[in-house]
Amino acid sequence: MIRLTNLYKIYNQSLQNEFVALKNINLHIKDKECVVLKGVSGSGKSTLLSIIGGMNKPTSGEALIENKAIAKLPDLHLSNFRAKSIGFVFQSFHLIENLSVYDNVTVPLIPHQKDTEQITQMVNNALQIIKIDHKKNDLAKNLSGGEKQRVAIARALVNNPNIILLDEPTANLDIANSQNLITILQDLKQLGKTVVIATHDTIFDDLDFVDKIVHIQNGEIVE
Amino acid sequence: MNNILLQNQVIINLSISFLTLLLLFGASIFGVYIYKNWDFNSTSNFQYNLEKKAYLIVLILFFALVVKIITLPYFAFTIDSLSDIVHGAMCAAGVVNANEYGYVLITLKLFIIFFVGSWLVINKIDIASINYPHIKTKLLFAFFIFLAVLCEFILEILYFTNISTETPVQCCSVIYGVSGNSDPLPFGIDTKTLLIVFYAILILSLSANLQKNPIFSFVASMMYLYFGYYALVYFFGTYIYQLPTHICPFCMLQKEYYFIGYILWGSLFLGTFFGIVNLILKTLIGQIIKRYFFYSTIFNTIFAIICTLYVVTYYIINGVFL
Repeated sequence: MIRLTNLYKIYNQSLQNEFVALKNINLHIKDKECVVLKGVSGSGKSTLLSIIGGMNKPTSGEALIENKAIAKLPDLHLSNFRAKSIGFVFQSFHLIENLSVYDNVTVPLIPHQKDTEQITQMVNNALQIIKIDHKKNDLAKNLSGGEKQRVAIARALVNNPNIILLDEPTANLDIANSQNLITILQDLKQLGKTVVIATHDTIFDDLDFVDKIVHIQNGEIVE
Repeated sequence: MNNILLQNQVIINLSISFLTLLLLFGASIFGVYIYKNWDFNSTSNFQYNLEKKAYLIVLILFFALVVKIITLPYFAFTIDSLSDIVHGAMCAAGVVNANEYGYVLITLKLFIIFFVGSWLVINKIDIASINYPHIKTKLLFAFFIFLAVLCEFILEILYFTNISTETPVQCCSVIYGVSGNSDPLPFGIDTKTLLIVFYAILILSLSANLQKNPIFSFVASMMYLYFGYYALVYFFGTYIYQLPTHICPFCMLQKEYYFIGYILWGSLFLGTFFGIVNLILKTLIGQIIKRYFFYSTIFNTIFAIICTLYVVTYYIINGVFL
């Protein structure tokens, strides 16, 4: 469950270049819902996503994720929470180019001190769900955009988090790969994940499995 | 200018003391501000900013207080090294005795270290929690430590500026020896009784730690510190120096004695600290850490074993006691 109440985010507060990225955001996303945050570039949807993901803190207001006030969590606890409960897929993937697909997906498991057998099982499982296991020994730099996207999703999934956040997931994909991504998102929803997508792409407008589309404009939710 | 103030070690000591005092001053002032305005349940901009500031303030306090711990042995090393230029001083005992501030300063430093250690433990518990439950306590405690460190700095200045390199001082053999003006042993007891009391209190402290009773452990640890000091200086020390007339708490810090003093005093102070800290924790934050009783047992035992080994080794080699 994600519940945002009276949320504001102001960058460079009290400085000349102060910028209000989010204004009085009130949003409730239920478990296992798929929600699209829709808006043009600079509308605040990525900021909102990063606050939900615990990578950014609000200036004021409450962000309750899985009943935890994440804006209040000390850094150590926030990191642990993020590692366990959130999977984040970045717009530009952020893969480590010189590592293999397998190793890239292993990265989020490193702090958890799991044994090798467990790691192998979890990584293979994530790669199979996303259907990229046949590329597991390839270096990330040798993959196509669509494949990189899949690896990034597998990496977000490997810890089995309840919430998957995707920031502009189709920005670097062609139409065919975007369609593939939608299939993957549908699978994620069927797996019982809460999926939140920040995008400006119209491809997400008429999808059956999307429960809610939230329009964001100039940092505010508009009806 | 006083020659003492031109010594590298003194300059380093005073500089570090001044810098840590400055850090503690800034952090404590902000700490009081945070203390007065803290409301963890609020989701206002003000509270979020306060939480960011608190993170930085606590980090500065942590750094400054860890530096205080690290500089304690360096202070011991400094006063020991000054014995080269203070007339009549052969070790730190003479230098400490060079004016009336020396022993007060050392005693205050020791208390501050115990306070600092307690603060670090509270901080560890607090940052491991999800809602900073002890932040107000630790900020107030930090302010109290700042005041103590301020007194310590003033005393340090008075101490170093009042050491004369021309007037001869009395050193350990006179200060602690039979001809000295200090009371040789507490309550007028003799060495044999002191030893019996020392080992009895060791057993008392081990038993207190076994029972995990903070009050009992506090009392036993303080007694162990008190009698451990006298036992080390007036009995075990003579076996370290292998000379019955050499009575000194500081010479054992020197290279000639393989710096064993650092280990002995270190284990005694650590044993005492872990023995007393649980009562401080219980008083301030209402909880204890049981493994600290075990640590106290370990350090107190190490202290007693090393001390005893010196006596046993001497007897095995020489066939007699001193």
